[in-house]
This record gives sequence, structure tokens and C-alpha cells, in this order.
Amino acid sequence: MATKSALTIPEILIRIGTFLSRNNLIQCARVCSSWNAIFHPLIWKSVSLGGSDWAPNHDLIQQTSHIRSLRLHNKISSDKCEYARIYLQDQLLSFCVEWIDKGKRWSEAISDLWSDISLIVVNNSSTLQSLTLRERHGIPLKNIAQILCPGNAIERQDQAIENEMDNISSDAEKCLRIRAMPRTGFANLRFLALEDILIPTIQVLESIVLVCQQLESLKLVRITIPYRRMGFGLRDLRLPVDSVLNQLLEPEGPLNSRHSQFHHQQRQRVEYPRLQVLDLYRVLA
Amino acid sequence: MTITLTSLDNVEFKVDKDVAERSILIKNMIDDIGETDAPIPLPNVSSAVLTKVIEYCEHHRHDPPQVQDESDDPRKRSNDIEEWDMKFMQVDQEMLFEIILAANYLDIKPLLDVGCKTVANIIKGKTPEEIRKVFNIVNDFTPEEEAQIKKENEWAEDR
Repeated sequence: MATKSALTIPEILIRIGTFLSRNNLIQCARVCSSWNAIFHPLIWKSVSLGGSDWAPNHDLIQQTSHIRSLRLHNKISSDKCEYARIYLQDQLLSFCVEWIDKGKRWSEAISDLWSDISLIVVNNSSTLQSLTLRERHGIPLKNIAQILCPGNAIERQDQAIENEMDNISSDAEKCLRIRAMPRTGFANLRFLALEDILIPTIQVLESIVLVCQQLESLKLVRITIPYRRMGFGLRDLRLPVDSVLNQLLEPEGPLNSRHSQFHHQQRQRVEYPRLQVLDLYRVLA
Repeated sequence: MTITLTSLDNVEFKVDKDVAERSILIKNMIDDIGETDAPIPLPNVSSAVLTKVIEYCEHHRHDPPQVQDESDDPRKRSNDIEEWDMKFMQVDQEMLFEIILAANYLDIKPLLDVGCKTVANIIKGKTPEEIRKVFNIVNDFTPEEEAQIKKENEWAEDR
């Protein structure tokens, strides 16, 4: 019987599972023991942590070996975060931090979680393919720099970007500064989204580009950066047409009203360590 | 150039090379042995199923090769089946699963996906008991096991 044989082949069931929502997967896991063996890991492949009604950590810990994608949102407490920090070493493919609490600012409400979050990112920096930081009231730039480029050197660098932007005039000097930056090992990062950044200034924007540049990622295919509150977008910076950066900044489709998404195709791959950010400065100066 | 394929029940099908090469299995075979007039035997596929598969490959002969999925979304959508494929998949359950098996064996990823999406759409919104009924699956859980599985996945549910 074809019906029977097709639905007993694990790879076919797994493929079917990729088209099902979590709630549907849960129903499938309850059908019979062989389906349970296939669908149970798929249920736990992507986990969303937040709200107040989550199970105690020990339930999660039993499932951590299945978790490939983690989303932290609203009202996360540090102890819920901790299991991820400890158990998700080098297996997380997608990590999303979403803070949508209207009442509190990110910096106040989540400051005690930043070390957990950056440790989760760092622990998984070799496998991570997608990183999204999204917040209604603005993500402090310093924290982003810390997450992507942990360590004191970066903190200093971050300060330097904000404080010395006006003081540095020569391209050579800027070039030197960029080269001096340490590298982090996000070798598989393909998607980076930073949405709603606090203090929307051009310096912040440039810092983000610099932070991206430091990623040792040759696979980065899309960056999403803030647009809404800037009053201007990267496209308004009138970059030289022939610059590599400009290629990168070609939007995929019509500009989204909330933020613009920039990406480049794999075939015209731009290697981040060699991204010509200097063009950006020249235009600004 | 045409390729001859022989089904399980010894029916010969003559198809254009580019149509036959929608199947990665056949494409690799041709690449390995070089162009040949000898028929390629497909002992796992009946003529009824092979007719359907060839119909699909002929319709999609000019499709660009599938690119690797770069999407960051771990869950893919099953509601994006194009109209022709939807009609193509309006077959009885037995044939649906035969097509999936053939697509899996012949390594035709887009056809396998359309088949799996169709099955996913059947599963959607159904309870475990309804799923068992639709696919004629025997429940081998004890009531205790059933309760345990329900409990352990309870809080993973999207609300």
C-alpha cells in the first residue's frame, strides 16, 4: 500500500512537517509512536520564550537538544534565559530577540538580560545563520556592538565611533581604525536584522555598518536596518553609483514604509571584511 | 534527443532529455553513462504513476533549477501551490502517495514539495484521531502514553 509506505518514510514525514505549524505538529506527534519519533523533534526545533505562562526550566532543558531556533519576547526573565545560555552551545541557527512591552524602555527593562543574550549569541556564533533584534522603543547601540563584537576592544571602538566621528578627517586614518577592529566568528550568519534603534543619528547608522563589517561572515546576504525614525535612509546618502556598498543597498522591492530592507544576491557576493564603507564617509564629509 | 524510460510494468516512455532531467536521479545517470539509446529501467514506478510524473515534468520543463532556500523562516508555507500544480494534485490518496514516493525516488524536489504540501494541507486543523482516520493509521499508544505526550507538548502550543 502506497499510503502506508509513503507515510512511514522518515524523510517524507519530515518534509511534510516543514509545511506545518507548531500546533499541527503537536497533533501529528500524538497520532502514533512512529509519527511521535519524527514530529517531536520538529515541535521543539523552534522555541518561543516569553509571556508569563511558560513551563519551568527543567521541562525546557530536556528538549534543548532539539532547539535550532529561539525567539525571546516580551517579559522574559533572566532565569528563563539561562537554560538557553547553558544548553544551546553551537546548535542555534536562528535567534530573535523581540521586546514589545509598551510600558518600559529596552534599556531599563532588559538591561539585566543583556549578558544572557550576548552569551547565547556568542556561544552559538559558529552556527548562527539568522539574528534579529527588534524593539519598539529602541535598542541601545552599545548593546548591539557588544552582542556582535563582544569584548572591551569593541566597547572602546564603539565609544570612539560616537565621540571621534567629527575629529577623524583622513580616509587613511579611518581605514586604519577599521582594520584594527577585532573579528568575531559569525562564519555562517546570513541574515541580520536590527530594527528600531535608539538615538537615530547618522553616527549610529555608520556604527551599524561598521559593526556589520567586522563580522567575519562571507555569507551575509541580507541586512535589515532602521529607516522609519531616521528622517533619511541609506539611499538618501547619495552614495557613488559604482561603489560596492551601493550595490548592497539596492532594496529588494518597493521601500517598506517602516524600514527598508537591503540585501545582495549571492552571485554578486560582497565580502564583508572588504566592504567599502569608506565611500560612506567621503559622502558625509 | 529523447530518452526511453521503462516502468515497473514494462511500458516504454519516450521523453525529451530536458524533461527526463527534471529527475536528478535520471540526470546523474545520463551524466555517468553518457548519452545512450538503451532504455532506463525505473523498477519502482508503475506506468500510471510515471505518466503523471512525466506530465508534471513536461509542464515544468522550463522552470529554473531550484535555488537553495535562504529563508530565515524555519516554517515553510503550504498555501503557495500554483494553480496548475493544485489541479495536478487532485488525485485519490493512493495516487498522491505514489507520486510522492516516485518524486522521492526519482529525486524531483519541486514535485516532492508539492506532494508534501498537499499532504500538509490535509493534516492542517485535524485532531490526532481525524488524522488517523484519514490516513488509516493505528493508534499504538496506551492511554497513559497519550496523556503524557499531550502534557509534554502542551505549553509548546502557539496561542
